[in-house]
Amino acid sequence: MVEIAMSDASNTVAPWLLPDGTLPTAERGARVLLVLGKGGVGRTTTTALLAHGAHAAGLNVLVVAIDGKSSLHRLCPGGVDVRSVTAGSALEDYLLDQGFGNFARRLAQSGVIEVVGAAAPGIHDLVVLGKVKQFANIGQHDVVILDAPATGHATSMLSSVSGLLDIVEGGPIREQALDVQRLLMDAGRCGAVVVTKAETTPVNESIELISAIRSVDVALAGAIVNAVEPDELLINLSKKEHSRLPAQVAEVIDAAIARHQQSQHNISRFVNALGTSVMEVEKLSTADLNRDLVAKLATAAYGEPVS
Amino acid sequence: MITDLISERSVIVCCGSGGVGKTTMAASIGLAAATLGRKVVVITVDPARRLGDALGLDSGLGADPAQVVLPDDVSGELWAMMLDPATELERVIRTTAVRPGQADEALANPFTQSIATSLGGTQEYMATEAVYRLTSDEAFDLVVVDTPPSDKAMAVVEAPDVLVKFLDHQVFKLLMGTGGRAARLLSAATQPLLRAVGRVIGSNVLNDVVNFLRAFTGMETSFRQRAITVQKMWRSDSTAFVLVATPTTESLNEISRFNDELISAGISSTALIANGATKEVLIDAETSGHLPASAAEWLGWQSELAESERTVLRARNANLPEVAMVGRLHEDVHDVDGLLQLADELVSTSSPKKLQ
Repeated sequence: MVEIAMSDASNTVAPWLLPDGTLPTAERGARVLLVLGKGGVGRTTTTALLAHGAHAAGLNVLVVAIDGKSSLHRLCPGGVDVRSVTAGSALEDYLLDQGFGNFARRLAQSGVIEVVGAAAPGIHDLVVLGKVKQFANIGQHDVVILDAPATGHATSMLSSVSGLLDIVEGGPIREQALDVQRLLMDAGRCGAVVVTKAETTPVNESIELISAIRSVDVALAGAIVNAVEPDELLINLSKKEHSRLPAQVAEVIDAAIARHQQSQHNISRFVNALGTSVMEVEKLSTADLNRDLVAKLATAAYGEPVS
Repeated sequence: MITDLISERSVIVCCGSGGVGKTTMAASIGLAAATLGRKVVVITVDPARRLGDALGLDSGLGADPAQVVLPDDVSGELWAMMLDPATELERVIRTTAVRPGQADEALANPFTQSIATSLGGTQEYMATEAVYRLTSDEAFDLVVVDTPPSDKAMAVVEAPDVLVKFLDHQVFKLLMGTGGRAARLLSAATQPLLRAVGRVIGSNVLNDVVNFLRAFTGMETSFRQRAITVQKMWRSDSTAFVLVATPTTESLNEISRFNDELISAGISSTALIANGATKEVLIDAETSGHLPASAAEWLGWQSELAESERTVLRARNANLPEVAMVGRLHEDVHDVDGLLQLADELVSTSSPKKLQ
């Protein structure tokens, strides 16, 4: 049996409604959410959770995966579009759009574009973000959610735009970089959702990530602590109850209590760094997360779907 | 199974997605081999400050192997280093230069340093150069490679192929030119393909690229030779690829996709470590009946999760190798003792538990 706990009522404000509380619409340009976090913290699950939440609120949602992560197809609601972007294909598309025709393919395949890319670091990141921008401006979706790469790469992705603007003085790359920068820095349209687990290293990296996000002037749209275990069940054990536990049970329970205290400490460090509340998403007693379970987590987080 | 690898192979490559404990696992494998008396070097390609801390290396991991202080009863040696692409590139250029002054010229090119860190594929290629160097070093009889997260790991494996392809490609030949210096520059600038590149990034940047490549003239033969040696080494019987994943559907799907890429590259993985498995506490019904409700509920949750993990591991893609389960640790590994515990768990016969 898998139980879903209701999250704290103060956290039921859906991040895609931030910052002004109005629903985004495709006409005004889709709201873009960048889901960022360290590897293994559940970025993809969180992306799917946000997609369920926004979909349940009646919005048209597009989820963008980088480098073909297919589990998003498996975890997102049926009515949500999922598209995959790879850096190589995005660059090729971009060159095609710029009228380079067959050169685009030859360049992309020769490896020489890689050498050229080094002359302008971040060109791949720029074309991926450019693709996201393009999706957001097409007018088909109200919300575009990007399952961004893991932390280290995500911060370089965010800073790639200003880095490129420093290097490239003119031409199509510069225009593209300016467009993307405009979108990233528009708090009304774009925001980052930071995901972490309650463990020490992920929280440390998330705190670094938060300052990196601030340094590039991207708004923070939400913060999620994922996979919080139900260890709090154990902290109410009385001394008397504890003393009666069989030894092998006491051992694992003590370890769980210690872990719970460490988690609580890590969550408060995260909250302090953010200066806002975070949403905690409970870890389920399953190794096999599926669409229905993510939908239940989304309902617990953001409420029942609108009819 | 893991014990056999650790005692016999000369290269063990650890691969997995970010956050699955790959670096820690690579260090434990190295330590386990050292306890068997082997001389081991662990090279991490992924910047990992924590690994240096865990190994007690005060100054952190450097670009050269540093010896880890181990308990007296460990008969072997453990060394550790972190790939620094810029240092490695300099080393490669200095040992490969074909004429006096060429290394200095190549290193003086403003691109050389930035390329080591920002050119896609360079870091991965430098990793293979470093692994090649360590395997040729008689001070070590096992090299453990901690690769970057799986999407980049394939780039490490394929780096030699990519380099050979690049050296053979007409665009490279064109950039390197064939005639005298003036003629080469002229031909480069007038090539439509290069003009197209110049239109995207600007012609001054393109000229810098051309000069950069030409600084390496004559070195490509030995680049190619080493690349071919590493291509063969990845596929040799003395090399083992060990996959690391967490026991969840999503992580197993990811590692399975990576494993498929390995298979297409002609490489078969040898073991799959399911890291962070939930420990099942086996208690009889009577004991369970006397537990406080909250403890019973918590234990029930744990065993549901443990059972679910076993189910997804059993249902893994048939291409994936045999599974070794490593239990979840109570806290992050932060010292050699912690790594030794993990190493013990890896090599002991009862645990890691083979999947039933």
